[in-house]
Amino acid sequence: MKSSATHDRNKKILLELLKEPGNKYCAECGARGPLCWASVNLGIFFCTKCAGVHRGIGVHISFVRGVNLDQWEDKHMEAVTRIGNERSNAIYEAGMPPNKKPNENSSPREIEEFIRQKYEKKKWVVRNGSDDNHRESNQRSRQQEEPKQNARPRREIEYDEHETRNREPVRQQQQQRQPSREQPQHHSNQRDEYKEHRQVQQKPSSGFSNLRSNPTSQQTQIAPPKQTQKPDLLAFGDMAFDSKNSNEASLDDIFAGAFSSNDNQQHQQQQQQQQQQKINTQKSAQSNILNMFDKPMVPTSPHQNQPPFGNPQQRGPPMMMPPQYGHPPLQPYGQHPQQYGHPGAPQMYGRPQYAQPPPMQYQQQQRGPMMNQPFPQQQQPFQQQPIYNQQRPMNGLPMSGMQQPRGF
Amino acid sequence: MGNLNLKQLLEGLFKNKEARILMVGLDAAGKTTILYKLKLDETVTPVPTIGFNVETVQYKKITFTMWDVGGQDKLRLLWRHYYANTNAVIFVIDSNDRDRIGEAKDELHKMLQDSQLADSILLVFANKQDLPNAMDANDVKNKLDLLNLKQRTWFIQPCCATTGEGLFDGLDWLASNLK
Repeated sequence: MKSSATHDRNKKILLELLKEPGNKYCAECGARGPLCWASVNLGIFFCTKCAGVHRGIGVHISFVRGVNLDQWEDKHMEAVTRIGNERSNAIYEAGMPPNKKPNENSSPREIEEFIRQKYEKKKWVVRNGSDDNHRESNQRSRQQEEPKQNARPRREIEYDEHETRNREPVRQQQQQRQPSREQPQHHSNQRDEYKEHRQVQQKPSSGFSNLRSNPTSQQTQIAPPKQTQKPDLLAFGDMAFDSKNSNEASLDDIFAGAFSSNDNQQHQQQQQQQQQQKINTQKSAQSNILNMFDKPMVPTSPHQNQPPFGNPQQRGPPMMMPPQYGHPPLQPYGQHPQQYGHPGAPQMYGRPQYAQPPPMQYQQQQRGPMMNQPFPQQQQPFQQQPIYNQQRPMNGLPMSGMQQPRGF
Repeated sequence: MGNLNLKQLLEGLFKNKEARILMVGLDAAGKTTILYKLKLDETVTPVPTIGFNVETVQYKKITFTMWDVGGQDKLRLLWRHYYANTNAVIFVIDSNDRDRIGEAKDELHKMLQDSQLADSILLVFANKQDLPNAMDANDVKNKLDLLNLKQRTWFIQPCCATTGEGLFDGLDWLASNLK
C-alpha cells in the first residue's frame, strides 16, 4: 500500500481529467457527468449504471475502479490519462451506425450487448482493408504461420511502425485521404532491415535460405515448431495471467516466444543478435493497448531496449498492463501539442487524426489464444469436489478421502 | 410442566432458526448478484454497491439475514462495523481476477483476525466460474492460504452467480454447520 500522498495526487489528476470536455459524457450511454467510475485498462470514464455493466463482463475486458471510492495507484493512471472517452470512442465507435449507441434510458441489458460488441468483438473498429480477413489472419498467425499470410506480409507490423514512427505534422494533413497502403517516403534503416528479414523468413525455400550453412537449413527443415508452438501458446496465456510466476525476464521471453519462437531459433543460429533485439522490442511494443493511443516512441530511445511492460506484478494480463518503464515519461493528457483532443487544438469530433487506422489488431492478436482457445485445465469447472477441512457426512457416510483433520 | 418441556422441544424442532450472515469480498466479486440470485432467483446487473444491501433468505428452515457490504477500497474500512453477532462470513472471490487474489487474501486474513468473528464460520464462494480463465476452487484455496486458517471451520464452493450454480450448495453447507 502506497502512501496516501500518491492517492491524493492521483485523485486530483483524475478530477482534472473529468473536467476535460472529452470526458464530460459517459463513454457508453452519453449520460452527463459527473462520472464517478473508470475502466483502468480501457482508459475511459462512465456513469454508475454503465459501471455496473462493465463490472459484469469481467476484468479480462474491463477493470473498473471508482474515482472516489477506490485508491488509485500510479499503475492505474496510465490509460486514463492517455486515452479518455473521446479518443477511445473515436476508435471503438469509428464504424458504428448512428442508431446503435445506447442512451441514458437504455436498460443494462442493452448496454451490456453494446459493450460486448464494442470492446469484446471490436465490431466497429475500422481497419485497413476488410475486417474479416484481418481477424482471421490474425488468429492464424498466432497459432501458426500459414503460407496464406505470405501473400500479405505482416500488416500488423506496418501498423505498428506507423504508430511508432514519429507522427509528423504531415500526417495531420493526410488525414482526409483514404487510409491507404502508401508507404512513407523515408524508411528508417531499421525498418528496411526488418522487412528484409521477414521476407527471408517467410520464404524459406528461396535462394537466400539455400545459401545458408547446412545446419541452419537442416534446422529449418526439421521445423515441427509449428506443432510444438501450440502448447507454448497455451502456456503463454497461462503464465501471462499468473503474475506470481512471471517475473520481468520471463515475461519478455514469453513474448518473444509467443510472437516468433520460430524466428528466434533462426536468429540465434544466424548470430544476428542485434537485429533480433530490435525486432523483439518492436514486437513486444505492439502488444500494448496503449499503442493505439500512444505518442510515438523515438526509435533510438534507450527505453526501447527494456521490455515495455514494466512490473509484471501489476494487475492485468499483459495487454492491460500500462507500460510503466518502457515508455517515455508520462505526461498528463492534453499536453501533447499534436495530440487529438488537446484543449488548445481545434476541436474535432468523430474520427481521430490518424493517417491510418490505429493498430487495433494487436489487442486481438494478444487476446487470441486466451479468449479463443479453451484452456485445458478447466473443461469442467463445476465438476470438481469442494474442499473440506472437516468431516462432513453425506448421506450418513463420511466422505472418505476428502476430509482433512481439523486444524490442519 | 411436562407439557411445557414438550412445547419447547417441538419449537426447537420446527421453529425457524435464524442466522446472521455477512457477505464481503473485493469490489466486483459478485456479492450483490449472489444476494439477489438467492433472494429473487433473478440475474440482476447491479450498480456498484455503495453502503450495503440486506435481504432475508429462507432455506432449510433457517432464515438467513444476509448483509452484503460494498467492497471498494474505501468501503472495506466499514466492514468491521458489521462483524458483531455474525454467525457466518461469506467471502466472495472473483475467480477470474488472478491479479487481485493476493489482495483478497490479505483482506480475508485481516478480517478473520478480528475477535468479533472468532466464532463465525467461513464460506468462500469462488465465483465467476463461467469465465474463460477462472481459477478452480483448489487454486483459489491455495492462493487464499485457507489451510493456514486454524481453529476455523471453512468451506470453499465454486459457483457462478449469474446462473446460480453452486450457490445453494454453499447454503447447504451453512445450514448444516451453523450452531
